[in-house]
Amino acid sequence: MEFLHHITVAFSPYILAVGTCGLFLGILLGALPGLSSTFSCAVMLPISFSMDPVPGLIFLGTVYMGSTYGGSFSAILIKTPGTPQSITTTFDGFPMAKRGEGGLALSIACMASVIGGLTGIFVFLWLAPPLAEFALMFGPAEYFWLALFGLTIIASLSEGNLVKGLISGFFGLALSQIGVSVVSGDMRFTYGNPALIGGIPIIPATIGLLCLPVAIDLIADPDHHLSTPLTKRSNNFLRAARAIWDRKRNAIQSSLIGTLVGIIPAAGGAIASLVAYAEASRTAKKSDRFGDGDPGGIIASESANNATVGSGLIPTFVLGIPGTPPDAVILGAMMVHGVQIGPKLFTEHNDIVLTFLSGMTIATVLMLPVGLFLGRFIYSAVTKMPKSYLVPMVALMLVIGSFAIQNNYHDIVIMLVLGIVAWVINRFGFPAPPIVLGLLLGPIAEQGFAQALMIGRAKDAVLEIFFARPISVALIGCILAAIVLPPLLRRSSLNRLRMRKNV
Amino acid sequence: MFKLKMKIDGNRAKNILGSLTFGVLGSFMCYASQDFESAGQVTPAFIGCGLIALSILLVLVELCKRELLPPPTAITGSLIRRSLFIGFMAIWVVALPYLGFVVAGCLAFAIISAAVPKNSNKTSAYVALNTAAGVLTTIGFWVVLTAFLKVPLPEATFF
Repeated sequence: MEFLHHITVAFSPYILAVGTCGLFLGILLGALPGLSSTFSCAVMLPISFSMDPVPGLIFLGTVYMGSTYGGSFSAILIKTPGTPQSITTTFDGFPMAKRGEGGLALSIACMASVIGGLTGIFVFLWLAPPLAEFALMFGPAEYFWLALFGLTIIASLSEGNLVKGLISGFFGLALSQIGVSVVSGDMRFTYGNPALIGGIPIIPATIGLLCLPVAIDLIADPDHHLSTPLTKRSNNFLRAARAIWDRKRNAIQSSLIGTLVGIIPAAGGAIASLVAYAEASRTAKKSDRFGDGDPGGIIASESANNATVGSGLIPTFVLGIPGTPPDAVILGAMMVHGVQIGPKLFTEHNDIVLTFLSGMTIATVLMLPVGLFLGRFIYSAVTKMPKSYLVPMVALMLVIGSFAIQNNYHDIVIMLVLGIVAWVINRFGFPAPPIVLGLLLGPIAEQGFAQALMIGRAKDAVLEIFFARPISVALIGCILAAIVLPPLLRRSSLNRLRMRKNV
Repeated sequence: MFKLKMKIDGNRAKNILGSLTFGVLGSFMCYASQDFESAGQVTPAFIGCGLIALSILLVLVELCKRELLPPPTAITGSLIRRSLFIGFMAIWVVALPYLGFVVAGCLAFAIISAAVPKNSNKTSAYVALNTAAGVLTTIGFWVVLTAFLKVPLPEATFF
């Protein structure tokens, strides 16, 4: 009831205007390749200081949510993920856009984002303190297993091509070894180059590996980039709603996965969408074609990454530990506004928390009209845009996206070099997405493994640390299921098909 | 058990070459990891061994399987335009610290735009329109990022 009271408070025109502006700006920034949610929140931070604490926080929260969803625009329309969270959206979003269903894909992404966003916020509202305690149960060994679980998505991305997918994944892991070792402090594979001391930065690497090959291929032929919609008057809203209703289990499962991964500090939306995509493809029906333009892939990815927005705030608000980099920006804003973080927040500043969550809930629902409107507009613009404008525009955005995060010229060079490498190895049949996975998960896996090993040796209980803790056991079970089940299910369905043919 | 396929076609050779390249990278990682401290050498050595094992596995699969698994991606469209694009991008990146974001960006936009193939003939008005659009877009991004969002972009050092 108290929450309903705050909903009415948050329903003021000012809060609605602030939330809508935040969403609008967030979607536009997130749609540009490379401009991540962290970047979007950071550049909007000074604007939030000019507001009172609650509208300021709602503004930042909606920028975060909008940019997370905005990443799906370029992922779907030009196969270049706007943010790392939407890497998995490209797998099915772009094939849908190629066959003239880009508008439908964007509508599905919008609705899935709203479902995920609301799930994250409601879980925050009702379960914040116990879930924060659950997040603290994740030790180094659990992080190690979680990273390995994220890597199992390579199996689902490499249909009939597993060895090459694994080689690409290991290449990504190899790239993650460049720079100062997180374990020993060694300078590894830098060869005196100061630009490599900090390692291969994720955003420029992602842009290079996934986006530059697309731009290189775009310039090759004069054909139009995307097919025009199959049916001009088709109602994407109803079709998207039906697609989500048909896959409601996937939407709920992915939102919950996103929520759970979001509350684990440092895991974030990229890992959440990877894990949710892997699970959705593992539990998909035989008729589903993940990786080939299946709406289920977009639903899994977008609902999971938006669920992390609300749930990532749980450790931030309850423990003062930001779950993701954008949460750290929001944490900083709260400190500047003089809001005390920690368990006392829910007793001394409960009004602020509840009004903030009410505002976020309303803004998330508002994302439906704002997102659908912007989606329709941007889809129409991209399908009509001549290639002579689209290709240099994409190239310009790649350069800006690589540079803007760290204001570092070397990041552009890294983007270009990795992009060329990705294009060349693509020609040899080695996929690029597993390289990004390896790069993303390598440091988490290495740090988790080394720390767990050290703790295990100190306690003389290495095996117990890795294999006897309940969360580790659950994650190991998930990893085994993700590796073993798909080939077994494929074999059994093939056998059934053969038997039917024999009959 | 396996029938060694002695006749190696072009695509299969491509796959073998690709896997051997990663095998060499794995060997290099194993060798180079010896210079690191014990805690820091475990992961690169493990990754190196993984790359070697997987590349050997892929070579064996390619030599023993009757059908080509998986086929390398065929290149469609112009390879020359692709090479030109990569060349322009490289020149753009090199020129960026000297010419700055605006000048280098406008030039790169116009040149890349001209390199894009078009079904009909390019008229001078068409080229001029693309150049103008490129200049406006680059300046638009520069103004929004530097003036409103306070994100610094590369500045010219040449003039």
